[in-house]
Amino acid sequence: MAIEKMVLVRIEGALKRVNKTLMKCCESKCFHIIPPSHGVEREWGERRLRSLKSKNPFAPIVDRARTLAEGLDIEIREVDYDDVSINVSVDFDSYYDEIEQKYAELSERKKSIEADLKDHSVALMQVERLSGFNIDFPELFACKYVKCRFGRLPLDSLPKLAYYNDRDFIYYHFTDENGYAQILYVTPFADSPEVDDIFTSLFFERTRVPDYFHGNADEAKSDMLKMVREENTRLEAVNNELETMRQELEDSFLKVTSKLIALDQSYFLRQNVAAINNKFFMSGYVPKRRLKEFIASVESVPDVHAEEKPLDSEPNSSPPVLLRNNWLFRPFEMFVKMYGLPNYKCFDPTPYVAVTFMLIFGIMFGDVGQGLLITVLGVILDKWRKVKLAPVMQRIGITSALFGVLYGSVFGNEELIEPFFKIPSVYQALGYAEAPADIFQVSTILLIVAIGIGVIMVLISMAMNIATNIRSPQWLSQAVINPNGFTGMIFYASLMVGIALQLGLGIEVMTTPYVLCLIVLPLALMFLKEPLIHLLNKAVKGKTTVRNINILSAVKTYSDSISELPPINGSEEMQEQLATSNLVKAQYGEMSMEAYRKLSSSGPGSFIFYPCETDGTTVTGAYITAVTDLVSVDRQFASLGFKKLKMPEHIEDIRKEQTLHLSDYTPAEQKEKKSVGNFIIEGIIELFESCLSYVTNTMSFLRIGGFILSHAGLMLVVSILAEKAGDSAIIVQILGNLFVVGMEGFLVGIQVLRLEFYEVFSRFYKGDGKPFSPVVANYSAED
Amino acid sequence: MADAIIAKAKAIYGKRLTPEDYSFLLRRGSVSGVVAYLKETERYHKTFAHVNENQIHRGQVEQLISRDMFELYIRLCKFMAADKNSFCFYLIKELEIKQIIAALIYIKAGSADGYLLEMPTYLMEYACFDLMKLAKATTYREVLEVLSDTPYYKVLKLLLSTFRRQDDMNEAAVTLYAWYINWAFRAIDRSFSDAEAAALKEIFLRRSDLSNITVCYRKKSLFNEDAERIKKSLYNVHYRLTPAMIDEILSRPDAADRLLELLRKMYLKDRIEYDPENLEIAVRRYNYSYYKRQLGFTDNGVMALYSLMVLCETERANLQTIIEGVRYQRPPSETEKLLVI
Repeated sequence: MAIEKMVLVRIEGALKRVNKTLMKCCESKCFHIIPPSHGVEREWGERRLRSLKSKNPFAPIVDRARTLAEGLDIEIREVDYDDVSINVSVDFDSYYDEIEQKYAELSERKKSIEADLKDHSVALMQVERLSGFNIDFPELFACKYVKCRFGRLPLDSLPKLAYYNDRDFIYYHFTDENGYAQILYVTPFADSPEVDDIFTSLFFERTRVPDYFHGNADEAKSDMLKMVREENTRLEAVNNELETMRQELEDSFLKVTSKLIALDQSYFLRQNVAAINNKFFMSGYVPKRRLKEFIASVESVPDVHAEEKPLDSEPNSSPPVLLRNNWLFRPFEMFVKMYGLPNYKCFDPTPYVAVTFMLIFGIMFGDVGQGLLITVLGVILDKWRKVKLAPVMQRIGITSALFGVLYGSVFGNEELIEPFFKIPSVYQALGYAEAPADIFQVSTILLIVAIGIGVIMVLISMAMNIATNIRSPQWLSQAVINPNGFTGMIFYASLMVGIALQLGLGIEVMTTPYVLCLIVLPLALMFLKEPLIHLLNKAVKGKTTVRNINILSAVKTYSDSISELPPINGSEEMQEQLATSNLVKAQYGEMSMEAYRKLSSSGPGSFIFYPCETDGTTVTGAYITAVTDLVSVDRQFASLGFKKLKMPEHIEDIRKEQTLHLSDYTPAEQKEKKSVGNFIIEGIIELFESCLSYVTNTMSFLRIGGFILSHAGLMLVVSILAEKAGDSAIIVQILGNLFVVGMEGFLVGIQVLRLEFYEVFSRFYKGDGKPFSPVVANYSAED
Repeated sequence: MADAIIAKAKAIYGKRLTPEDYSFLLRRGSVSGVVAYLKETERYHKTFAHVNENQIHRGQVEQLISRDMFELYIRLCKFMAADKNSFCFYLIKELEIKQIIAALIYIKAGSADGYLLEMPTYLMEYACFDLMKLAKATTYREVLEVLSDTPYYKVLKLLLSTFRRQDDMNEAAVTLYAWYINWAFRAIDRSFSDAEAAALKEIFLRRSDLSNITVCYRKKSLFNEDAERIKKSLYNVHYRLTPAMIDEILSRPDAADRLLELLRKMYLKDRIEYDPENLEIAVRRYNYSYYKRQLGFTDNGVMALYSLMVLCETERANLQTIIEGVRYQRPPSETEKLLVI
């Protein structure tokens, strides 16, 4: 029930085995590959390394295979291809050439028949519109002295034909369709230009009747139907041939294509492989529990060796995150992923989310019948459509049913089971002399309980924040003096306990020492957070940050005192970012003045360059960057012709003498600007904001009680409607319950999720983890 | 009911063509291209679903758009369950007047079936006279016979009995419009409270003002007609532009400039740019902006209906401009200047 432990694995082997090794990695489905290893670069020297990225010969063949599969109606999927002997692209080409030749002949025949069928269908549609026309088409078209035109006229124009009654034409109106009238008009040869103009001005659209029409409209229709039937028979025969071909080929096609796709994918992965001479190197993460199995699988390839490496040997990358929870909590991983995966070094909040989600949903939507209905729906949706939310529904349905037992509600009926508030010992303990008639009479207590749940959840979230940040470099500001840290927790807990005891139970706890020590003091600490952290950092100086920032400080100090040129990218944010990085590296060297200017105008980067000396043509100085960005920054400077030199002694000396703390990096101007007045105003605003968030977050949990009451209210409405419905009461009950399950269930689900995300996660959780993406052969056509 | 109509009108307006749509339409090289694009829009998908864009004529496109707009109007009127004398049916009256004027113009021009070709068949069911008979009329007397059982007969009787080919048709149009405003004001007074009636009457007052200013400007600047002749073409309903002001301006040598200044001060303000060559476009822009605002804020269902129809008419006119631009191969940038968006 946590984040899966990862191990870093380095694979080395003979270069000729790289494809086979990558295929093994794909088959294992547990290898998260990372870009060429920085560790390898350090071991073997950067210049000797080369990337295996090259043009993939398999990519165009995969496209061909996918087109063929679509034509043959074969769904590409992963199958075992051990017995496929084809390995090189030329052989794959030959294999698909052979199939394509067979397929092309059948496909052409099919296309030709389909084109004929389309023509015949259009002609059939035309002849159907002329239904009832009892004149022989060939005879009609053979007329010497009259002209006949078939076509359609907008219905808007049809009444206008009456205007031209005195002209020499007659028209026959067949059918009306989609705003048009199908008509035939006949006019003497001599009048045809004028009549054609009239019809054109009325937007007549002429239809050419095919010359293969014989007999009258009905006979022509019969002929066309016969032709369509014949073409359909031919089409069926071709389809049968294609089906036979598909059946004969499917097995071998799938095997060959599976291997082709695996090879294609492994070729694509070669960009993550580094090579030195005749050896290849690649690194990646594997779940610890699958390490042995993975190493055995990879080492089954001759001349290939895999071994576990320490996680910090790859400073450029952090381990990916794979959540691992038991069957009960696993479906709730969906919500955590929705917010963002946790960092590998943090903990997985899924169990907490699962428990609180089930609990709060059960409290808000407590009904035995409706809860079980949600569970059944969840089971059906899971089996039938594999809906991701379905397993969650199964679980929350059960907690809903359990709380339904407590509330004594079965599909809104509160007489089958005795509710908890009607049990004498319970209602007496709650201060009622008689049993409350319904849940609305205990609404105040419900709302108080809801706030109580909220207070507990907020406190747990604060505790999680403390646990998460206590080992971080910013532990003081994040875990101790913080509204969600230790001081905030003391303040919030004391205030809530004080209010509960004093107002609820009448116990006088809000004494002066209590208020001063547990409420005012934490508030004062939060108010004085900035100067306190400054002082405390001084006290614990160097513990974690000195090795990172002393290089930075030394070069900066030297540059500030000597250089006339301004630093590049030396913003306060960047200084702080580097100062709080786990590792930073400084590289001293020189570059041309032109390169310095180019670098100045190139915009922000993940480094600071401090110029130390210049003679007008060259600039000597040092760039500082976090180790995680070292490779890209090194490349950037190399491209500018930066020549690496040894760090001079006088700067090294300053470095050794440094006694540092973070506040040294606050620029002087900034220090001057932040007057006492500014500090007080900012402090008061921040403190007010924090206090307001305590109140709003706590009040937010009132919705738990609110939804209990709204659920009871809705079911009351359903039962009143059912009573009024007489004989149809059962139908009203069923529809009412379905409505409540659908609408209120959905709303409650959203509200619980909202509570989780806004009131809980926002206090401690940062979803900045990287997902575990093992390399696999991709068989879907989309990517 | 008013809320429902307002909501419906807003929903229909929401489906209007967007500036992006106009941009695409302007770049279509042919009428068939324009129709193919309109077929894909939510607003005109049904209108053009069954037409063959490769054979369609631009006249038919315009007729289909006008029919679509009319059917939309009738649907809304039926939804309001208004009686036939209600102000809601103002558009039918307007269209009837348009038909009479169009028929008279074609008779004057001696075009036998000119009116027939543009006759909106969809109006036949709703008009209070026979449109086919109107199309067949070849003389003014025949027109009067067609209109014999309608209120228009009384309005036109005296005028058409003595009408000669060389007479100005504007006089007939002005007379009919005066009757129409009178009808509208009575219909409004019958059905609405004072405040609502005032707002609805303002529509016609503004419309008259704008028309009078543009007519005066056109006749003065292009034809330099005398004041008395110009006044015969003006509507006798006045709002901000009073008869005294008209007399005063028309008597001045710089009347055209004064009229432009007046139009800017009274209506366009500095919000709407205008080109004296295309003053009608500026007036349409003003109307579009004014009725868009009305549709957004009115709580009167009839005002919402009227505003929507003005906005739809603007869209129809835009499409007509685009189709004409495509037909006459006008550069898209030139056509774009004539659009009201």
